[in-house]
Amino acid sequence: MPRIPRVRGLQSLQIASASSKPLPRLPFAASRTLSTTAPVCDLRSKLWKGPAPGPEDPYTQRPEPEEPLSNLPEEAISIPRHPISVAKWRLSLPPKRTEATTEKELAANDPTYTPALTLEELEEIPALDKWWDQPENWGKESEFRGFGKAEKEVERTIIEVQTRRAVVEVLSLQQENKLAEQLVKKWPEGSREALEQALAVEIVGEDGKFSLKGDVSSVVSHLTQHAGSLGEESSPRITLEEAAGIQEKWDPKWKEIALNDETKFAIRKRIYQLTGNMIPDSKLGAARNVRDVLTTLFKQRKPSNLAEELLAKPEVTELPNVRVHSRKVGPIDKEIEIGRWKVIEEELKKRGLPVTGTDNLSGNKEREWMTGKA
Amino acid sequence: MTVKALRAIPSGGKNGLGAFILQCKKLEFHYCDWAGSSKGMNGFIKSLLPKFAAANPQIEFSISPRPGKHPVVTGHYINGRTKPICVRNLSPYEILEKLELLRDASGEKLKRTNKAVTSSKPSVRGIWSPYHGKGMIV
Repeated sequence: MPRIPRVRGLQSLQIASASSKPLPRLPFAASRTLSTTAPVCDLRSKLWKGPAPGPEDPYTQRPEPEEPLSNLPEEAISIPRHPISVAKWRLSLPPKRTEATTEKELAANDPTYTPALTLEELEEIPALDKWWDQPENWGKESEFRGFGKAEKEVERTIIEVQTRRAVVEVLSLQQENKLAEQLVKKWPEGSREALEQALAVEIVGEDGKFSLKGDVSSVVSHLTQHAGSLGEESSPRITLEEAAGIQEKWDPKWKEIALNDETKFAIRKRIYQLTGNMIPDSKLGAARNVRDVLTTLFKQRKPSNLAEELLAKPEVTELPNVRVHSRKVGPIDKEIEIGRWKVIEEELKKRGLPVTGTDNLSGNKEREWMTGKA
Repeated sequence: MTVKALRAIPSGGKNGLGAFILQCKKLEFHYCDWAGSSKGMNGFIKSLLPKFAAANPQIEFSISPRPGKHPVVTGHYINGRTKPICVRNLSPYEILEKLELLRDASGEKLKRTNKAVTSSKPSVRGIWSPYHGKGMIV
């Protein structure tokens, strides 16, 4: 019973609102235009000291799309946003949704049409969400082709020869005043002839001042010709003996060539392309000359495991009583070592038993009982 | 080729000198590249093992990884027995001590020696004692 006798009980808000007469509603836009035009202009003039930005009434008028401002130079804007190779991609996109023709329409169009009667006769079409999982929908252009060489060069002499080539190429471009324009482009890896020409150029000079002596223009012409016109060439390989032979002829002073930021960048890029060795930014920033660049390239690779490290140590491998195994020595390895495995294998086969594993038989139950697993 | 004990003392006698054969014929080293308990063992294999192996040319050394397990050194003896020692979390020099123990061990099962004389062929008559029997008349 309610405490206040006149109140019969609280009516819920919903009932109360439902009972009241609904007000006629104006459309939203109409109400906006009616109510706000004049006060908005006043309000905006009070909010902004000068002329207010945007349209006069931003609540009813749409702002005109402005061209995005860019602080890039005009040359950069004129460069197409995608490289030519990306623009040329022709991936087969999934077909648009179409509705199948009915049986009647099909029969009218094609009198030879006979509907499938069994499941096998129906053409199987994979679902659209699996489109990109199917290899036939990916073209050759989608395969990843890295800029750098896939396998890293580890031989010091070969790295040095390739570095020399990079230095000669960069210096010859610099000499012909073409380095700035070629810096951002991909240089062709070049044929054997291009490699030999670059290595034939001599570097002469002393006390930090060096110049090139030889056929510089042909080196530049090899670099500046369009990569596409030559086709996809893989860089010519140099054997270790060849590299050692070439290296002997050089005056070691060439490593004293001082490098600036531009040449360092170009050399790093070229070395990465030719040998797959990337010099980190921190190391490159600290490098002052070619010798520093070579020192960072000659860093020894850390062995991935102990066995690898031991096998590289002559004081371990030369001991006649020490054997280093690179992987776990299992029971089969032990049997092989004493020459018993082939006998065991033969006997197991003779009895029709699995040589390794348990085939479809259950495992060693007794062992599980003993170890408390089962 | 397994090592066998000499059946006869080499000619020339030398009072048994030169007839000694180390009972430990093989030492197996198992380590893990990843686990922290193998840290000392890996350091030992890298730094001390080459010298130890060069100093003991009569023992065969076999080093193999055993991923995901604690490091173990196992001694194999010419009597056919083995002696495994777990060297987890031990420092290289502690492992070296264990290794010297394994090298110098006979391979026999450890026995309590509470008698003055131990013999592999005990006498039927027992050990002579001056306090028993009739004694000797001088």
